[in-house]
Formats: sequence, structure tokens, C-alpha cells
Amino acid sequence: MSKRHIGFMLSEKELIEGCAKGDRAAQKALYELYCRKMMVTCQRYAKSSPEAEDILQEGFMKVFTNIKAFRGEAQLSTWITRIMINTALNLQRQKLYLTPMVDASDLVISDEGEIGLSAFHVSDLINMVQSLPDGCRMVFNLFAIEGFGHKEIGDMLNISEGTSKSQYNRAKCLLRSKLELEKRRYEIVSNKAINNN
Amino acid sequence: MKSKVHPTYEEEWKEAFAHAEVVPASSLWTSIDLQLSHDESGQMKKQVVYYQRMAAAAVIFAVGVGSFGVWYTYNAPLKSGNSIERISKDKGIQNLELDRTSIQKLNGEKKTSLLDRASAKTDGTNNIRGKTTDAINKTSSIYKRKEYPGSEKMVNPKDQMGAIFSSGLLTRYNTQASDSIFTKNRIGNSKRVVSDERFMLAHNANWPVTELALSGSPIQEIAGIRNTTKKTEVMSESKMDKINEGWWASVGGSAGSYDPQTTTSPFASQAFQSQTNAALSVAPSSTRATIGTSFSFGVILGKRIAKHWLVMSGVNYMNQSIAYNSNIAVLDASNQSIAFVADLAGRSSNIATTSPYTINNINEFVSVPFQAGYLIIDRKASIQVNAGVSADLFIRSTLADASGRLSSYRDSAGDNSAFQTLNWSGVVGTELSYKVTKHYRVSLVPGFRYSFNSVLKSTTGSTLNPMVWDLGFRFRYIF
Repeated sequence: MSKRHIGFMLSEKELIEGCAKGDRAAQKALYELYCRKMMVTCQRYAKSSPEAEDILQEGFMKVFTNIKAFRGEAQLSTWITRIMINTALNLQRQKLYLTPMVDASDLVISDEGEIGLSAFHVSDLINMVQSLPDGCRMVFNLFAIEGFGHKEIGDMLNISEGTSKSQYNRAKCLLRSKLELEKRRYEIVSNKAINNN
Repeated sequence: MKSKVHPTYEEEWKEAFAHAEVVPASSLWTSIDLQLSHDESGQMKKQVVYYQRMAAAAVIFAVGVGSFGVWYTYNAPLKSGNSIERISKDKGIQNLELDRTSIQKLNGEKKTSLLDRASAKTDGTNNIRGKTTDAINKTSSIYKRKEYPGSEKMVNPKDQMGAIFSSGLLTRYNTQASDSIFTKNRIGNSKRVVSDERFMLAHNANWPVTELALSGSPIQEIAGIRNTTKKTEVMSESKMDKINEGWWASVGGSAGSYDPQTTTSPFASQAFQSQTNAALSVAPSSTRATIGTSFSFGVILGKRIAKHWLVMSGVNYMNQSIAYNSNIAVLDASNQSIAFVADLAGRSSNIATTSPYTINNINEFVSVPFQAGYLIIDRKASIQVNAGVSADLFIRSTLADASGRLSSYRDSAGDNSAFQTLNWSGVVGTELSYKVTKHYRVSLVPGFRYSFNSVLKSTTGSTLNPMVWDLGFRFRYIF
């Protein structure tokens, strides 16, 4: 485990020990250290920012409750991220139970090469991901960003591997159209700015 | 695990979020903080409920065993008679039959002088005498071998009953020692006497033929009643121990749940709100956990004043603690923040609000209990119920910030204190004890305590009537 010193001159080990003892100062330090990064993770899985905050709160409660079980086999940030993802999936599973995912195999997505995401602000990217249907959003996050395979995703979401693939293709398709729209909006805004100048 | 079907596309997305950060709402930590406090108080409550259930189970057990003991005690004489009959037959004294009818008849005539009855001739009209003397005939060999000073008349078994009666031994016994031996034996130790395989016919002025027990040397027993040595032999060892348990001292402690039973008057609450709201942007609040913890330890001195009654008193240190979640602090002269709660509204006007924090409130007392106890079962394993009052002398109250950021608020006894110096509580409990050796007993004491008066002075506008359920352990030394 890393012994680097973080927030309030506490090492990661001291933070974990403090949280395990229920020390509120250590818990707050841990929260402040990871809340911003975890908020992005939660927003990617949530439909809105308030929903993301609910996931973040529930996730941190689980972190503080279960931190005694953290054995240091992975990085603390990885462990916390996994808790946030599981919390989000638990929330989404309830939604997915009501509106199950179906195959969307008629969609054929060509490999587009570089799409130039660096040109977009992160909040716009989050908005695009949030606008995806629940199933697509889950599969997209798990596959593209977390790096899980479709079989694993199928097991996690209780869907078939094929459904996972089709949902991912659908997500890519929807995101492509959103990215194009956003690119046009950027161009219009930048053209207006040039004309005004 | 990681399958990269579209490395470029996925890596681009991954890279886009890799270093992204979004600041969550500032109120989010407050929500987490409150939820953590709530969960902690919930955990504490679970522990307290566990102790409460243990105490309740102990009380139920004690009451159950006590009830059985009372039932057993009042049903013992009948059982004793049956045992005697059975054992009589087993021992080959079949000729001796306990004629209950005769006994009852004799009981009914108990107003008749026993000496008159004794001097009456064995004319067959007295069933009990006839049957008993028959029995004695059968066992005359035993009597004939015995020699007792002043009891030569007993040599003839046929005249034995008359001889016994006319000798005045039983009369003397009745007037001097009946309570000390036979009455007690009838109630408590009749079984034991029977198990000694002794045979003895005795009578009591109030209950003419009370006991029939087997004895190898009946006359010796009866004659022996006159002297202290024999009396001591007849009395059981356990009875002697009980008599010796006159004075004792015990040390012990107890732990359990503490419910402060606090109320804040609407007037005081409104005054506090208006006083603080004028200056503060955030609404002041302090939420108390439902249940706290209590522990005490001390010494108790006790004395048995009657067969079943005891009195006891002593001195105990008592500590009652409970958690608060508060966003209030008071500022002292040097502008230093001190932990504070709304229950003490009116104690300070220099109020400030802070982010919510946890306060440990500890109230300390010296308690002097005065209790009476009743022994339901008085044996090696005993059960007694205790009840009485306790004078609780307030020492101090502390409000301490659990995180240590704020200074602690202390209120010691005195005129300026928010707490009454002398408080009265009612205390009841059950004591389940076991005599380990001649001088030592250990006991488990589930108990309940409720404060009759508010521990807080009326000037605070709040009331505090602590209620405690606890389970104690005592180690008693018997002098």
C-alpha cells in the first residue's frame, strides 16, 4: 500500500486506519481526496447530477462501512471506484428490471478511427453519456471506459453477451450522432465569435 | 478481463474521463456526516438493546425461579408426609401406618391438653396412640438398648408415649424449641430429616402431631432437644450458614442502557430559537441519540434483619453517557469554540453555529442507595428482589466534541450549575447469587433505576429524568 502523504498530512494507511476506527476527521479527509474523481464516475452512470450525488453518498457510506475489509490488494482509488460502480449498477438494475434491454443487432457500426474527444469539454461528454438510454449507458461505461468484456458485462447485468454487444453498438451510434451535433454547435459558436470579432 | 475490440475509440473515451474531476454539492458531506452519526447511534442502540434483553431475560428467569420456589415452599409439608409414608414402608416398618385421619382427629382436638391426653390410659379410644405404640412395639428392641437419664419409664414400649408425655420433655420442647427446630423443619428441611432415616414422633402445641420422621434413636433425639449440642446437630449446616449471613459487604459494578428522558419546554425552545436565529444564518439544532450507556461501580453493605428480609446501603460512582449531533457551539471570552447542545438553552448567549459534529455528553454522580431485599429462595443459589431509593449526588456534566476540535463544556455541581445537586431515584432489581464458599457469594443483578425528579434545574427550561436498565455483577464477602 502506498505510504504517500495525502490530505492533512495523513498517509493513505493512516487514513484507512482512521476510517476503520470511525474517526470522522479521517473519513472527511478520505472523502475530500476522492469525491471529485468519484463524482465523474457516478455522473457517467447516472441519468442526472442529483442521481449521481445519491450514488456518491451511498457509495461513500459503503466505503466507510466496509473499509475494514480493504486488504490493500488493489489501489484504494480502484477499490473505491469499484464500490461506486457497483452502487450505480445496483440502482440501475432496478430500472433495467422494469425496462429490460433488447438486442439491437440491425445496427452496423464501422470503426471510425479517431473521433477527437479532446475538443469537447468534459461536462458535455458527461451530458452525452447521461442522455443515453439506461441499458446503453451501463454497457458503454463498462465496456469502453472500465474495460470489461461483453461476457463479463452480460454476467453483471444479467443479459446475454449478444445483448451487451448490441447495446454497445447502439450506444456508439447514438453518441456519434450526439458528437456530430455537438461539433456543429461548437463550429457555429466559434464562427459567431469570429464574426463578432 | 480487458478486451479491447476498438482500442482507439475506447481509449479515447477512457482518456477523456481519466483526469476529469467534478466538485459535488457542498451539502453532500453534511448528509454523509449525518448518516454516519445516525448509523453509529444505531449500532450503539443495538448493543444497548442486547444488554436490555439480557437484563429482561434475567428478570424473567428470576421471577420464574422465584415463583417456583414460592410454590414449592408452600407445597412442601404435604410432600413431606407422603415421603414419610413411603420411606416407612421401604424400611420395613410396615406396621407403622400414618393414619392421617387419626392425625387430623388429633389436630382437631389440639385444644385438649396434651398432658391430659398423655395421662389417659391406652384404652383403644385414641387411634393415633394405639397405632403408634404398636409400631413402637415392633421396634422396641431399639429402645430397650438405649439408656437416657431420666427416661427409665420408657423401657416399656407400651407405655412409651405416655411416658414421654408425662415426662414433660415434649411439653418443654414445645415451649422452648419448637420454633427453632420442628417448625423450621416442617417448612424447609423435612425432606432432609426423612432422608436421615430417623424416626421421631413429635408434637407442637399449635400442631399436635406435626412430624413423623424415621430415626434410629427417637428418644435420644427427643431428649436431646433439651440441650444445645443436640439442637445444633439437628439443625442443618445450611441453616447455620444462613444465620451466619447476618452482615456482608459487596463490591461490584453494572452496565446498561441509559435513556435521558429529556424534554425541552416550548417556551425555552422558542426563546433559544429567537435568541440564536437573530444572529445566525443556519438554524441551530442538536439531535440526541435515543439511547445512551450507563455504568456504575461501588461498595454495598448489607444486613439480614429477618428470616427473609435484608437491608443494604452503600456508595456507587455512576456514569451516564449519550451522543449528540449538534451544530451549536458557544464562544468563550477568548472567542474559543466550546461544544454545546440546545438542551442547555439559556446557559449561554454567545452562540455560534458550526458544521455538524458529534458530542459525547457524560453526566457523573455519586449514588447512595437505600434498599430493602426479600429473599425468595434462600439456599446456596439464592434469589432476592431488591427495591428502594437512591440519593444521587451530581458531580459534573461534560459535553465533549468527539473529534476533539472544540473544547469541552463542563458543568460542576453548585449554585451556578444547570444540574440539581441532590436527586432521588427509585431502584428495583433482582439478585441471583451463588454461595461459592462459606464467606463468599457472587451475584448477578439485573436492575432498573428511574429518577423521581428532574436532574436539570427548572431554570434551564428542560427536564432530564434518567432511566437506566442495567446488569450488574457483585462479589459479596459474608462476615
